Amino acid sequence: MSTAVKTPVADPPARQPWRLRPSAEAAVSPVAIVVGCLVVLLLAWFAFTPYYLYLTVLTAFACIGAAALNLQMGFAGLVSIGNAGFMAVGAFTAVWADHYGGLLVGVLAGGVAAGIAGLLVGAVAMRLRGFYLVLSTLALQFIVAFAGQQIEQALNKPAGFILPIPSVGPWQLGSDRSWLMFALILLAIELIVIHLIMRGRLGRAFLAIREHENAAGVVGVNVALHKMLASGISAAMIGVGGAALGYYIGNVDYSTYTLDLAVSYAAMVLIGGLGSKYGPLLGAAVVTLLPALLSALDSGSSAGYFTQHASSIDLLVYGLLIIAIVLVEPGGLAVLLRRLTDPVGRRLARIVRGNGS
Amino acid sequence: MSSPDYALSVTGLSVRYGRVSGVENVSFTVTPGETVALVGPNGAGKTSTLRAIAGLLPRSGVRVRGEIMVGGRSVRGWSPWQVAGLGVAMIPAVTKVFPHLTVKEHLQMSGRKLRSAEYDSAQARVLELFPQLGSRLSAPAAALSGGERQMLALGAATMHRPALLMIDELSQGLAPSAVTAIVEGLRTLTTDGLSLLVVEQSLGTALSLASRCYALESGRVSAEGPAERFQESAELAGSYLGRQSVQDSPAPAAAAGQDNEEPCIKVTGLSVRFRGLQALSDVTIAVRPRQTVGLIGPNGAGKSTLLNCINGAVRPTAGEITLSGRAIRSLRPHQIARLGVARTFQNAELWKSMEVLDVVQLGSHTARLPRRAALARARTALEFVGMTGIETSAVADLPYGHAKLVDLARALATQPEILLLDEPASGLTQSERAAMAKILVRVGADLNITTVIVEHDMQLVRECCAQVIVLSHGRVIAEGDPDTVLAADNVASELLGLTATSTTAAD
Repeated sequence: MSTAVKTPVADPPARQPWRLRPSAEAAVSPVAIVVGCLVVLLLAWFAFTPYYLYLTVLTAFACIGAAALNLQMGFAGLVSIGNAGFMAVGAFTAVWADHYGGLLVGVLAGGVAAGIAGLLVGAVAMRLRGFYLVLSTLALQFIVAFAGQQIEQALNKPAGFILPIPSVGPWQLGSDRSWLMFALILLAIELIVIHLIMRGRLGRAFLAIREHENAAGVVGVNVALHKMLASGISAAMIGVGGAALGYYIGNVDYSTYTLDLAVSYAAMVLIGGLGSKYGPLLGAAVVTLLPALLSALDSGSSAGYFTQHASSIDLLVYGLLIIAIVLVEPGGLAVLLRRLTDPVGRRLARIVRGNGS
Repeated sequence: MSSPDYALSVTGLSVRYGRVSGVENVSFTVTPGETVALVGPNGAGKTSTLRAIAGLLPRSGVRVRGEIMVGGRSVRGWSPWQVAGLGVAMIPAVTKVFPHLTVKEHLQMSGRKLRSAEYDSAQARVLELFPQLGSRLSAPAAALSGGERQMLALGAATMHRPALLMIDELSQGLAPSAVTAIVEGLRTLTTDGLSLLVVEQSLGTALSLASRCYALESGRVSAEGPAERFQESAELAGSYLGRQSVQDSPAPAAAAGQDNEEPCIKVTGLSVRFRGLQALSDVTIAVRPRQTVGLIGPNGAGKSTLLNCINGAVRPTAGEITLSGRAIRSLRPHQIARLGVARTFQNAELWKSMEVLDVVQLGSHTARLPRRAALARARTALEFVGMTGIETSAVADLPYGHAKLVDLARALATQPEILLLDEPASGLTQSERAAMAKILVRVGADLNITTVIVEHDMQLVRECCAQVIVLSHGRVIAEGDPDTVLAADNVASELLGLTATSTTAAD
């Protein structure tokens, strides 16, 4: 009976022709993630010098953190700068769990511990919004730094803890190549998990909370629960990254996990594109490679001005980049890039359809 | 063409919010010492006009065209403080006062540039206008009643003797006695040479004060002229009440449950009080299963508050709501949603950066469907409202009317037992409005959902609703089938806001 009634609504705009059907798009992302990681791996494996290889490993780790932070900040809209704290929780837990089974156990335990910390922070933070939320996540930063310092003092390890060169079965992670492979596997798994979350019920609930908290509740989303979940899942992923990075550096010391580190991760997400799927990966690359780029400005002299002041100049440049992004394109590098590529895509679609109009 | 004969002259003013048109080609004038009223239903563009004059519209995302002259100077694009510098004061509809400052502090703040003797006489003048404030000088504004707040706002705004005073929603939410006192005060001020521009829902209050009226409807001036002419203007009544439907509507009552069936929504003795305002008092209504009910009344009557109470967003001060026999007093909004209550939002651009298909699938959140089932349900809902082929667009990229339909599809995708619609036709063009009405008729007839529609568009109410409930000042004043209720004299005058005239005249 309802089919007989024609709705006299104007024709909706046609689907953009260069985009795939939603059903096909669903399969594209995981494949693209794996292919992308493989391409980076092959490039780095065969072409990069040791220094660039090292930078690529750092970038891969940064990507793990940025993608996780984006889940919370970009998709669920919960601003957080407690990420260095979660990394520390992951790394310190890995030091303890390493005795019970090496790298994989350490990394997993780090993720679980950081995840629990994330749920706890989420339980407090779900009552807060905006500025107060940021401050509450900052508190975690100081608590963890203090606890780390106390533990190191109590156990008489003034320079922090040493993690051994780990191995997974017969595979020893001694070289940067093997580390790159490990980091990229972790990143690929993480990106696929985020992709699955975001195309499901949980992801839609996060988006609804980001768009309008009260309306999300009216729609049926348990806002408090989902805020905790967003914080917990994001923290668990950051913890995994922190634990793995701890193994890579070989040393876990509370002084590594500074506010600067937390800010640089937030910068990655903001510069890359808050709430964009892959933008934060771009942001992670920019922020990680920036110091190397600045050092290159010193043209030969091994300890020039830029190298000496690298850490403070970095922060200055992050700051300027963030201001520029907010003013020019709040969507970040991801949207800027799409603006450049969209005309190309449209032209391609026109060629494929075979009319020049 | 700048004419200093006018305290204010507005020519061809248009305001666009992104793709939503707020004001279209509006022109009017206010001469010195004159009182002009802008009347019209909610969403007609009255507040946008005031904000455009005061420089209060946001700089980005809003396009303002036309000419705004204050005292012979063009002020379009000026900052609020620059406009205020020309002697223009404005009192907004809701946030009139600073809750933590006392009455005295408000007056001192407004009169901070006056010398002490000038200040004393200014304060004395305010207290003479509104003697009620005299005893409350050291009370914080939060402790004042709605009427006293409006008096304080007026007093503070006139400390400096502005040339032009703009008041948004003069009588909204105020007790009749307070309105009388305020209208008296304003009359005194205008005899002293103040020009007034008053935005008012209640035609009665507007007419008792103004010498000339402009009626706005959907952003345009639909009628203008001297106040007396408005009293019996049938045209104006039409814009408020909707034209009588020519053919019989396709009997929307057919599917409704029987009288003896248990009500689907039962509200008993509901009262809500916030910020010194009685939003609802002792409201008792019952909606039978599968019935479509229109909830109408002037702005500020408590319609949205009642909707918010039913879905748990607002906690009532007193009273009881039961949905299909279940009391919902202690439930949170998401728990009520799980009972099968869905609602749409007045602002359809709520989910602006989400993709259409994600928004509609959000509707099946409470049902915990497997992926494919959720997707299928979302597509069915989009088909029902005629919005297919836009699944991957972001809501922000859609025309406003389409965004409203997507939000409706989202609500339908929950397969609700109870559907609450908050002004489904507001902000729509004429043709979009007609399409929406057709879809809503089908929601009632084909889907058998109990539906409550809050709406200012009486035409749509006549087409969709088997029954209407009229709220005014937080109370139910009439109930019944739309044609009878809207034809009743007391309802018509309440919707037009003519009742305040008699109150004022009686004093």
